[in-house]
Amino acid sequence: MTGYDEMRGDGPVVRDLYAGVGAWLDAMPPALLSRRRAEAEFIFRRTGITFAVYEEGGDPDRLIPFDIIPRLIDAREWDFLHRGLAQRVRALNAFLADAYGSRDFLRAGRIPEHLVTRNPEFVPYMNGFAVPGGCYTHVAGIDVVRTARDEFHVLEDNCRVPSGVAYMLEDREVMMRLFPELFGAYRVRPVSHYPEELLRTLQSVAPRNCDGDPVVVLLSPGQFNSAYYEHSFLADEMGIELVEGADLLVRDGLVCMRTTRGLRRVDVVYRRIDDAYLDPLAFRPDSALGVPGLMAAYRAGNVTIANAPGAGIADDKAVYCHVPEMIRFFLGEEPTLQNVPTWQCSLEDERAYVLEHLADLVVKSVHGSGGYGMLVGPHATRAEREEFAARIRATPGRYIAQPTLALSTCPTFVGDTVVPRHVDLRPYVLCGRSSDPASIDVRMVAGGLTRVALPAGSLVVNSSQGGGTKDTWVVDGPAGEEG
Amino acid sequence: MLLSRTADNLFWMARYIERAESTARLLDVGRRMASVVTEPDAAASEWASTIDAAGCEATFASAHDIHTAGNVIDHLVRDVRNPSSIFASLAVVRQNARVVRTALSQDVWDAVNGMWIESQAWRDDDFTVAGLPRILDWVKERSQRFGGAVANTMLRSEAYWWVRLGTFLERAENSARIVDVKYHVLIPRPPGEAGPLDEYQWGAVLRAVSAYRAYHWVYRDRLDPVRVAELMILRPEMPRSLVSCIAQVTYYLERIASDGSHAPDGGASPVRADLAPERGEVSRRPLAISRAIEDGLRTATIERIYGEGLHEFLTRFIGTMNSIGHEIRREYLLGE
Amino acid sequence: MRLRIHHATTYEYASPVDTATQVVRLTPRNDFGQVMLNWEVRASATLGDPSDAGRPRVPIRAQLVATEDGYGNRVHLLSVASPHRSTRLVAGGVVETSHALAEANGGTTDLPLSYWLRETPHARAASTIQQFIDSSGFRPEEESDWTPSEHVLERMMHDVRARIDFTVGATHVLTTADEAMARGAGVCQDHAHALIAVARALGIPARYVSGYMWPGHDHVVNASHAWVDLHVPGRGWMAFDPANDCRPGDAYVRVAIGLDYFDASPTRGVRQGTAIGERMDVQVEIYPVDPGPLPQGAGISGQV
Repeated sequence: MTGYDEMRGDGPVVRDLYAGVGAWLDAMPPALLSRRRAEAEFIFRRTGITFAVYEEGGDPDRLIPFDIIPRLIDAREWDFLHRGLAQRVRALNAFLADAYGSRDFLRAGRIPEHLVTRNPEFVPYMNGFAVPGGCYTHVAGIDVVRTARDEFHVLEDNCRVPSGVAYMLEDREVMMRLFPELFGAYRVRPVSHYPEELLRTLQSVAPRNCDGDPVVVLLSPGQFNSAYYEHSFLADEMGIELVEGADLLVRDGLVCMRTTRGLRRVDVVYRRIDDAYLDPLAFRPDSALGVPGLMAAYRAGNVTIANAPGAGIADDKAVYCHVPEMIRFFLGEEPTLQNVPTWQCSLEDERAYVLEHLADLVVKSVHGSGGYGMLVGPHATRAEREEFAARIRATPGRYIAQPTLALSTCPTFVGDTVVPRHVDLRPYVLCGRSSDPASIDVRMVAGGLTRVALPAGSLVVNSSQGGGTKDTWVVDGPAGEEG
Repeated sequence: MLLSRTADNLFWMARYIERAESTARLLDVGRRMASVVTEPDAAASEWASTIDAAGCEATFASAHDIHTAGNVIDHLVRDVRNPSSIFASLAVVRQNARVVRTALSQDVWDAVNGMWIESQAWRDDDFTVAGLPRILDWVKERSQRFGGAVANTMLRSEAYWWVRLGTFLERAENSARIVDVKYHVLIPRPPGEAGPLDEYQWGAVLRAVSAYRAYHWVYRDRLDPVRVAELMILRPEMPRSLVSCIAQVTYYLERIASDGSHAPDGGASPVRADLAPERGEVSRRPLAISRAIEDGLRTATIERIYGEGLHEFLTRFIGTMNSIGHEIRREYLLGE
Repeated sequence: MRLRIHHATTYEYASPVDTATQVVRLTPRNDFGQVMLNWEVRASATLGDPSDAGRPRVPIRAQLVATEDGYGNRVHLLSVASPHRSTRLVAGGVVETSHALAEANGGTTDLPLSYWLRETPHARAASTIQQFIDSSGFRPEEESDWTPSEHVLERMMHDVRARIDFTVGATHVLTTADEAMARGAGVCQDHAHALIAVARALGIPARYVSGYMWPGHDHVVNASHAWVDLHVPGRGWMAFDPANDCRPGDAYVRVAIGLDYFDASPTRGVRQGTAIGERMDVQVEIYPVDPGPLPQGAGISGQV
């Protein structure tokens, strides 16, 4: 399947946007590109930017492959994306506030009630609680794919603990070190201020009773987590403490960290652990992990947890179908960014269609992530399709299906040649307290993380499935190009 | 202000690298002693006292029957079931360093990580009496490189103080252990009665702490057992003497206990007073012990120490180092 | 009826525990037709051997902070910060109850009915309960749009009770509904879990309720109680007490509701440090008082 070629557009010639990259590639012998790629890898390894795989046979020091050809987005395209992303994230937060509050959206029949009330990610502890600043998804990662010159679709919303932003930042660092001359050919919008923006966002949602500068910490599961590098990187860049559950405790209703100078109050917990491990007194009774009493301290208004517990009800793939309706309902606007058409296997006629067309569709598990538990129909064997059909019949509510999209491609250096490979884009959208209490403050740095499927023809970009990353450039080019 | 867990990791990283070096130095004494005795029983007894001095009697007994050179080298160098063995220590060092990597300079990390990677390259035939000197030199050299990287590249902030505190507390304890291996030969002799073997043994103790030449610089005389003990315990110009080590421990405990006005964040991190009840008196407990020991050593004479009994004195000193470690944990590392 | 309640929970350890954090639900709800006239929750902790009467007990600071959970239950967070060998929680006060409790409406919780169909690991219809349902005939197969009558629900409660003998010590807090029914023995928590599992499997929304019951004679009851709310279309929420095989009335005081025991349990906590030889003692006294004028200083207070 061939998708929209972001370098050449639909025609045989290179788009003006990519002219600089084209000229640069023409002037670069493959041997030199290879050498630069090796240098990039050396830098990544030396800095310790790894995505550890701790399962049996996994490599604790595995690198995510990095492609040295940048992916370009022009200002007009980015403005469009920015508008659509901000709109979508506002609607998702409004939906969450509603789902844990007055539930008007449910009562109006805009979403089947059980998708909220019986969602495994629904956290009853959040019911009737007004979160600080009205923010639930302080960091949202919205996965966007491009299918034509002016067609972008949202593939997935990540409202819990989206990761990967460290790669966005490190990819840019490495590119600026290796290819300063290419930056001379473009006006690339910066991304390096992301940690400051994140810190500002987190501080903005500090509890009302916080006195002085809010103390923010990053709560990590520890060094055996695959994203540990990112946790320590972000904590370092923000100048905040990187803590684990045992470093925190609740005393007199306040969350404190243990330091060499005694207990110190914590105002905002930027957590990179799942809900179930936050507090053994509020979640799994059998779990010894987490900070006992954290949720009670949260509800008492003494600490802010980001992202908010229970935000996961907004990002499963069955709820996804209803996001355009959220935009209309809560914002009174038409969605700027479209969803990918989605069939819900829980509905009888849609299920029948899916089972009939398995060979053309992508089937995903409603609560799955990371590219696990999914079937790419056109690439699957007959046996795999039959196995999936059986699973769908057994538990239809757990699956949705989408058409196999022709994801756009970007020039990618594979082996020793430059070839087109499918890409997606994960921009990181930050939500903080707004001076207008009825609203939230949405901000983002230009671009995001471009993920690229390295095997020829592959549409799976997830890093856990062998995907790589690219630096993403939002370019303020000469205006009026391409018309 | 540091997270207690971070301070704990830095402290133990430094302690274990120092422990690895000290174990190497103890083995060096044992090797030199065993090489000059002729009867196998005497050699075994030299190796046995090395195990005792390292405080590894119990783990050794559960792993081996007899104190052969091979068994002792295996146990103290590479047996990971012995938590004090050199290789087990290096594993702990790297594990701790990995967790606090962002608190370390790149050079310190490289020193630790490089040591770990190289430790994987030793082969079976290196763990023999013949191969031992090379391993011991490697450990000492690598540990020195770590110390150099810490001294030359780490920011003078609380993280640095914790690394230094770990180093000197461990060194104080281990210097005492090294003297204790041979306390029974360090007994006063009338001049002329000491044989060449005695002199050799005294020399071995000094060489183990790289102080053979230092002795002659300080005393400008032939070896005398009481002076060997004095140099190792009371002489402030001797960097591994007990008094020097404890003076460093005191210094870094003072830094850590200071009210934060020397902290890199200028003390701008107020601890809620109501959450940290009455820390004043209590928080200086480890410091108070350390100061008392230091004052005692500065005014002590070697005659008084011999009056108490050298072994008894050293045992008491090692016990006190343990209580300082215990108090440090209680005051700072639990974070309350 | 006006009921006075005194509920004391004591934990003792053979060796000191470093710190403890507990979530405490010991404040009656001020809704469902019951009115809390006065109430207070207190906590204390001591160091020193509790069994050694001669030695002084050193008081240790035990702090309570009041908050609320997502069901509208009043929650206190208890933290004991230093080593201690005993903790004591005392809750008590006066509550005005009403007969309307059998119809358990009027609660401030607004979670949709479908929420109360969620399965939980402890109140779930696994094989034993599924078999029980299959052989019960509660739900006629031919009726696709079935609404259970109050009578059917009472039979359901009766049958659950008949399958599980009231036996103290046969189960523990982590026992599931299915295990209790397979064993044929349990306490009020198990009866409640079993009835909830049966009801939800049949599409009937169900809530776990924890609280107190005045048995009508004795004052000292030694335990708090647990029962169930079931929802009947057209009638609303109705209370059922499967452990006693009866319908709750004004002898019942509601403290907390939730999906199962873990949402509504009076106390749930973690300790640091080895808790050797833990002993927990619960004492509940409950008795009716004159519905005369209120005692001096009466008022609604969750905490002192």
